[in-house]
Amino acid sequence: MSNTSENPKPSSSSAKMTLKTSDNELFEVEEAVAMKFCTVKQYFEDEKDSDVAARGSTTVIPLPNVHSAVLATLISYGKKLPQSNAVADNHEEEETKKKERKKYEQGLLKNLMPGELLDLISAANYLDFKEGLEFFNQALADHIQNKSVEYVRKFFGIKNDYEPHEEEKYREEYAWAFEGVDED
Amino acid sequence: MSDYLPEEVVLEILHRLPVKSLIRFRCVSKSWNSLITTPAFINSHLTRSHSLLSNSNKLIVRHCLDKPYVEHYKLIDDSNDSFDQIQNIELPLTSRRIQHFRLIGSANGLFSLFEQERFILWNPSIRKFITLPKPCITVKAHGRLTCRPAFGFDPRTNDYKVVRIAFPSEEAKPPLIEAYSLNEDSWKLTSASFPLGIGFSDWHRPAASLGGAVHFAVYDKDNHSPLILSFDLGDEVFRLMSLPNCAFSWSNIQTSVIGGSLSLLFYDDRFVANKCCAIWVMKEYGVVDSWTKLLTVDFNKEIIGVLCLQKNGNILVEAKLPSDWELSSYDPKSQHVKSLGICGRPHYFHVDNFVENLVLLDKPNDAVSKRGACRKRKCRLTSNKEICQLQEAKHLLQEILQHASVYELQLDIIHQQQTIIHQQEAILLPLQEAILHDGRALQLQEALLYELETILQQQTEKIATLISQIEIMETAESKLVFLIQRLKGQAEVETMLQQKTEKMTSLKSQLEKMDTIKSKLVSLIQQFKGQAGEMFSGVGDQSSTQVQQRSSSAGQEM
Repeated sequence: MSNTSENPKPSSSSAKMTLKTSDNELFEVEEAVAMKFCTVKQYFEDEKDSDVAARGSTTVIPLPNVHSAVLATLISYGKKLPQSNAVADNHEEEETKKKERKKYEQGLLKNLMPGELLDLISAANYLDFKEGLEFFNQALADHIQNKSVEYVRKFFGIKNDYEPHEEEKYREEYAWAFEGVDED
Repeated sequence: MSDYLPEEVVLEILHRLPVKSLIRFRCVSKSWNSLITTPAFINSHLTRSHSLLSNSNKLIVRHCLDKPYVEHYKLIDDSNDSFDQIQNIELPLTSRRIQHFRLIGSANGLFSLFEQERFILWNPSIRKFITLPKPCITVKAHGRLTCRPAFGFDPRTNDYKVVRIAFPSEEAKPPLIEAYSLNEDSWKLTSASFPLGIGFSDWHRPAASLGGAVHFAVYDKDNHSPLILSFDLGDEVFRLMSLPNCAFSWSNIQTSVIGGSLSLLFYDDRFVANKCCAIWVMKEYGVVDSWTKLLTVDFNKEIIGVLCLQKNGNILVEAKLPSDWELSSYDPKSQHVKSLGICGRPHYFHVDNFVENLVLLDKPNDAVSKRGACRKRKCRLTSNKEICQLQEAKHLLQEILQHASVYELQLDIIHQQQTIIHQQEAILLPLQEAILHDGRALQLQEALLYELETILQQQTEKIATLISQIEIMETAESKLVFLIQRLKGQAEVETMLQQKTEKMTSLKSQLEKMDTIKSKLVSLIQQFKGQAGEMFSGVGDQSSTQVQQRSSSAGQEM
């Protein structure tokens, strides 16, 4: 990923890393993007410390809790984020990049099934991918904001441990909070 | 796909939900309920609310309508000039003794109201109010009082506090000061000493709450110079702040918060024709020289009070219309007042920045307490003759004094009895609830039993039908057996018949053979007869007898 800028300096990381998913698929990712996954970063730094393998290119980092489809989405989201090692853009470039990212984000969310959101959040949590977690948590919150209690239970797989009369009493007392809710 | 999300992730998602969704999702499960109602969550959700862009343009307007006496709280979108109403929430309480509650102040979307010695905290975000316990400083205990209340938020302890500065009727005595803390849910007298020689310029309007302290507009009784008295809600210490020299010694000053800074509203009503209000802002807190004048609102006989600054630079004011008082928007450039269509009782308007807040969610629901009726004392005076009048008056006074002391004792007894009744009520209520609960449990069991009965009935019916079916099948079976036997018998008869027919055919064939042999013999006999005839003519009797013998023996042989 190269930026057009006045003084092009060699990007310090054209190095790539390989990530292996739970279904044994290999993903070659640029170090800059992979470092956003703090779990990967930790693993990589541990490897470096223990001086076991050569830098990046031959290490395959296993991610047994992440499925390939999910990792693909997270990687493509990570690529769209401003890179920490990139040369600072001027204000205009930053604005256009922001707009592009917004457009990409909207497109991404439109094509996403709600169930996939849970997988993405789980994976982003496991990978300690802060920006991804932030984004997908917000997307999920927006999605469930106006949904009914039954929908939320089903979505998260939560069992209702209230007695029927307790629930009934609560719904009566706070009837205003149950108005205008999306149909399931 | 794993359906299980770790708790910290669920919390992250909950933090991003608006208050209405959170109240609804308390119902999802008991664990979600406990996540949402912890004080830590309530505090961190508020912090997030403050930072949300969607909240930074919201205002909450309190206005009071008469007959019926209802307080309305309107949520307003202040992001553009249209002043759109998002929501209207009514306070579900009416004052008993006065027409409307008096507002002490507001902080973080939480309002504090009172009437006489009854104090209320009201959170319109979750539509919940609580009644505070009785304060320490009461008319009963301390005699007649003139009280200056204030309400504020202390960010260091995430606590909301109501402060009361009560002046006894005797001028010389220093005021008593107490503060209620929401976290502790109790009133406490403070040892803070009110500075001497200071009087309040403003007794009624909300004192500005900023940075964990409430600020009063006061004046120095010696030189009448205006000052600001701050009371820190954390360390409960009074501090005086002086105002710049160009400040004016009007008696009508109000403290407020504008754009996050402490501000003063100087109401200038020296000239009836030309009333106005100067708004000053302290750009840097604590720095006297940073006081700057923001603008002057020209009342122009329409406006009676200044409320708040809008996002577009206009000022929200209380304006008088021909028939009513209304919230209006004042444009400082054109000095034009635009009506916003929200009417209400004058001096009972209040506008504040709105932020969604879950505070009070974890407090128990308020039970409306009953109060004893107050009695009116009546004094009687009779007069007959001049001298006797005085004596009788003296007697009567003595009697009255005696009655008064007895009356006080009786009051005490009545109060005690009231508390006993309250206690008994408190005991009865859970019992009642338990009975109701049991009753409901019984009903549930009855319903279950009924269901079981119907199920049993259905099953017995099924069994009956099955039995009848089995019977039908048995009769069918026996019929089949009978038929089979008959068929078997028939089969035997058939075989016998077959055998007989076979025998017959064989006999027939034998007969036929015999017939052919017979015919042959007959022909032979004829031949012999013929030959014998010829021989008779020739030979004579011997041969014919021989032939006759031969034919008879042939016949015998046959």
